[in-house]
Amino acid sequence: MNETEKLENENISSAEETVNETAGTEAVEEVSIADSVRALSPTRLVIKRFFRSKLSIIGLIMIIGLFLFSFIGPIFSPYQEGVADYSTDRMNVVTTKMEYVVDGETYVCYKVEKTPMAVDRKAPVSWEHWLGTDGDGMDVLTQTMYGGRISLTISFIVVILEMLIGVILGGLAGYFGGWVDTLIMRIVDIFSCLPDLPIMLIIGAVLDGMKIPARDRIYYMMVFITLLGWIGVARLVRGQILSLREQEFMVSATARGLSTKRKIFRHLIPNVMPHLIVTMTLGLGGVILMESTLSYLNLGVPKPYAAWGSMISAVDKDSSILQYYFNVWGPPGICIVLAVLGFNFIGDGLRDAFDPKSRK
Amino acid sequence: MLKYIIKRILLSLLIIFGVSVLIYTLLRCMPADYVETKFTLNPNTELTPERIAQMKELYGLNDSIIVGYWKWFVKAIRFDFGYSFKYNQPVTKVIKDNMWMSFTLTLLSLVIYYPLAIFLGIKAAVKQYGAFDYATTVFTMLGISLPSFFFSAILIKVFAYDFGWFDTSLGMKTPSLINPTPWEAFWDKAWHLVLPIMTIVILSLGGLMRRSRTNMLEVLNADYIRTARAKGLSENAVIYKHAFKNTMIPLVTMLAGLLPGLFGGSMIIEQVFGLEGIGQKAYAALNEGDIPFVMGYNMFLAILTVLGIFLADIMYMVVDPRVKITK
Amino acid sequence: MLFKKKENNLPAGEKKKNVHYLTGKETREIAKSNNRRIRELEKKKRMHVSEADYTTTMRDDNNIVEFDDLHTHFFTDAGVVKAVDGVSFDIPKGATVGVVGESGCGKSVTSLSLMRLVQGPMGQIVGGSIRFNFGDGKAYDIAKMPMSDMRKIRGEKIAMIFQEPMTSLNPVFKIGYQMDEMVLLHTPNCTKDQAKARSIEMLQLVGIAAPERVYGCYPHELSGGMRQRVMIAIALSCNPKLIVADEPTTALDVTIQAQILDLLREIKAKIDGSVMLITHDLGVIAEMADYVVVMYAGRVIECGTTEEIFDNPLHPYTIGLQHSKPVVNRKVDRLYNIPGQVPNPINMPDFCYFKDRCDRCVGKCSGEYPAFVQVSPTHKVACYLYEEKTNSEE
Repeated sequence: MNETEKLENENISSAEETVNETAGTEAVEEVSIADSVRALSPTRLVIKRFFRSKLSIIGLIMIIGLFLFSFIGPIFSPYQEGVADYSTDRMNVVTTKMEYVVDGETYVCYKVEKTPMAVDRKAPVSWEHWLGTDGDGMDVLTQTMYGGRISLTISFIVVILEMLIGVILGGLAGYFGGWVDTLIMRIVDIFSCLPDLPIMLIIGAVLDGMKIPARDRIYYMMVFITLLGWIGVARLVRGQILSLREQEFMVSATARGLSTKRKIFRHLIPNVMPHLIVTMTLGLGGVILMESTLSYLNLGVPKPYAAWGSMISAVDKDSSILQYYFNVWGPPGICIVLAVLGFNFIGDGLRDAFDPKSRK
Repeated sequence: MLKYIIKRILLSLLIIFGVSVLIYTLLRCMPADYVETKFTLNPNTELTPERIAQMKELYGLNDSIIVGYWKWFVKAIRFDFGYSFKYNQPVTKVIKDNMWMSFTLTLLSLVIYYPLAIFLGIKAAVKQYGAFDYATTVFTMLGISLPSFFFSAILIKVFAYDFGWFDTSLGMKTPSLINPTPWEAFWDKAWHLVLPIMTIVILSLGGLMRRSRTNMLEVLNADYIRTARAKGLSENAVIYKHAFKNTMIPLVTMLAGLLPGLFGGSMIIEQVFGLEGIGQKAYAALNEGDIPFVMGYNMFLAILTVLGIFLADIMYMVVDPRVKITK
Repeated sequence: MLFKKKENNLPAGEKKKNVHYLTGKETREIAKSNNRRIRELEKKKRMHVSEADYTTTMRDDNNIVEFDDLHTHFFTDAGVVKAVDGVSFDIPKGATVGVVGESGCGKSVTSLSLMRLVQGPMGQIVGGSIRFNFGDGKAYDIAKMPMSDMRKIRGEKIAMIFQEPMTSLNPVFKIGYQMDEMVLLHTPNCTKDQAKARSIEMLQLVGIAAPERVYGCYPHELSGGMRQRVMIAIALSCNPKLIVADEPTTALDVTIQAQILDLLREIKAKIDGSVMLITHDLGVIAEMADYVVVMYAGRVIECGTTEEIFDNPLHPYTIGLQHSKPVVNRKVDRLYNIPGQVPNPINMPDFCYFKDRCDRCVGKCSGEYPAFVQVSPTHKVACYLYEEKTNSEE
């Protein structure tokens, strides 16, 4: 508990004492009934409602855990991203069966050839490799950590970009109306009719042709994910502003002669913010899904760099990995689920917390 | 009413036009065009540069983007989307032939998950914050959080490889089944659809169930629900008659929005399960730069999307007595 | 729904401000105890209760309803709101009882408790009883009745007219359907045609000019006054013994108000029932009621016949209410208003809740909550001012 909270507690207990003191005797100090009633501060109310739901807490823990795992985890890993493990003493074992017929009797002979493995491919779970290695001999745990960096960073950047574009364009459309609104909303309409995945596939091919350096590719993809994603935010902001504009408190703000700037920043934005925060949190999960799908289709971060989606795509190329090596494709998949689930839980919790109607 | 519909149709045409311009421009930016990937990179065919130029001319790749688009546009308004490079058939025929596979798959899933989601949503709302509510919330949230390729991989591993209930070679029919009777062939095909349908159902359940739950909660707090209780109606009548009809309004109109998914197929799921639907065809075409088909497919999706929005509006008018067109 | 959590507006810059906010620890404790109580009460609600358990006897057989020490609480995040805190009064057969008070003093919650419509799981009846004279010499305690048995009473014996006619009708069903539903539900062996005939008859009764047309309308096609008439028609269609009207005219404009009240009075005479009329409009009470119950912050502070309350108001609050009503032919510079507002009944201290706003406080007022003082057989008041008087008279 910090200083201020302690102070608050003291204040409260002293106030309670005064109530008790005055109760029996003549009113020495004026303690009104209104003073004895205490409510929750609005911020605390939201925080409290958020933390009441166990799911929100679980979501928060999941996301914080994934962040630590991806950003702090690699420090403790002896392996590096995209580098296969050559330091193995495992052997390739090739067994050949031979049959000799000598004097009418059959002898079966097994020839066992052991050659040292250059690269530690498909290693089982062990102390050296907690989650084994993949088909290229890279440590799955380390790759998963680095993959998380990509997914989490991208999701935040994309969502922030979407928010910027969406708020500006949606705000313009909603606030000014008229031809600005018509123009922006027609653009929104057109973008909303673009099928996401096919478009991203085309863009992926275009990027291939432009000979974009492998490492930078994902940033270009990010921009395009944003371009396809901002329309939701723009629609939300526009709708909110349109409905808020009609409400009495905005009319009264106009009647009181408040400046446009003040109206926007003091009245409109605080009212739109809760919705926006919820949409954005839920959007984080959506972006991670989109990014991992693109990576799965090999449109994201190219090998040997790690991304959760591309790690799972190993099952497509080699069905033995699908069948026998769950430790290769399971962990990144579970990480995607955890991340998306975490953001969804948090978003849901925030929505319930912000909405004054949804009270228990 | 007529004026409103005409206005909507004109607007839809404008949107479709915008979409087509965007997609065409993007497609023409693709460097690896079909002719190059198919003929130049193939060492077996010895093509002279003249031959390549001839081919490009044939496919309309030598025109500038504007001229190319114009040529495409003139044909497209007559519903002629050209000839697919890859499939050597008119685009419309490829779409028509492969559409029904995707349609069957999505429709069957829809029939399962739509009523189920609505029912679960209502149950969860009625018992808000109860154990059932938490359980369905977690389960359905898990559903929306699963990437389709990961979930289908798990299903294939568990049910096809580990349990051996399904054919591991995927696709549409078991290779070992030789000369099946029509009945056997039908069952074999149906059996191959079980896992994809399961994937779609579980992945789609969550979003709809959440929506149904939120709607129901909102309706349950309405004054008219209190009136219904005050009338002495049983709790079942209150929920499944008075509240139900109100929650159904947005959910029914949402059905129309599923139109593009219904006919357009789902690329990933068809790809993973090896189903020969339109999604898989489109994915293959995209990878090889088959411009006419990709163009046609995207336009098909865009038209379905626009149609879906339009239908949703119409449905609203039909279902909700309060909505009347005033424009 | 009734008690919004408001921050108390203290002058800015005052350090004491933090006092008005609960700390995290306190809120957690509140949530914990709330959850426990709610779970207990909800469990009790679901438990099977046999008819014998909620059968009771009326104190006076001429009463239709007797509220006896009713407690209805709301378990909110900020603490337990005692919306109704020990309310007792009777509704005699054939009489109109007016319940008055400012907004948020527990009038509506009292009526909702009578119908068992308090929004759970947050709102719960935690104590006391509501005895209802079922007829045939039977009486039930509504507070103990299981929800499934409440259906025998709701609509059929007690009908309710709500405050908001605009939102109280289901928007997706036709008026006719919503009316027939009520008739079909409570009339045994009723055919659809009979129900329709009854509905149209009721629409006519409430003064709707084209009942056949309205019967086929959706609620949004009618005006507010028309909808309230429909609500009344629905409420009355099964000849209830008691009509609970929760501010039936608040949302309507003045000319319609008068019409609706006239209608209510006429119909009451016609079906020979009782009316519990909730309002904050004293004029309406004076016109309609036989008995008046004045409520303040979840408690009854004064009750008596209309004459007694209007001619001889005793409680300072009642007097204040009277003064704040404009009267024709009396010239005043400024209409009186009672200073302050109804306190939010969370953690109320045990002294007269009106103390802070009262201009006639005596020393004793800081003591415990005043008990009722019986002024006449029908008139009682909870105020120390009169306790002394009666004591000295003795």
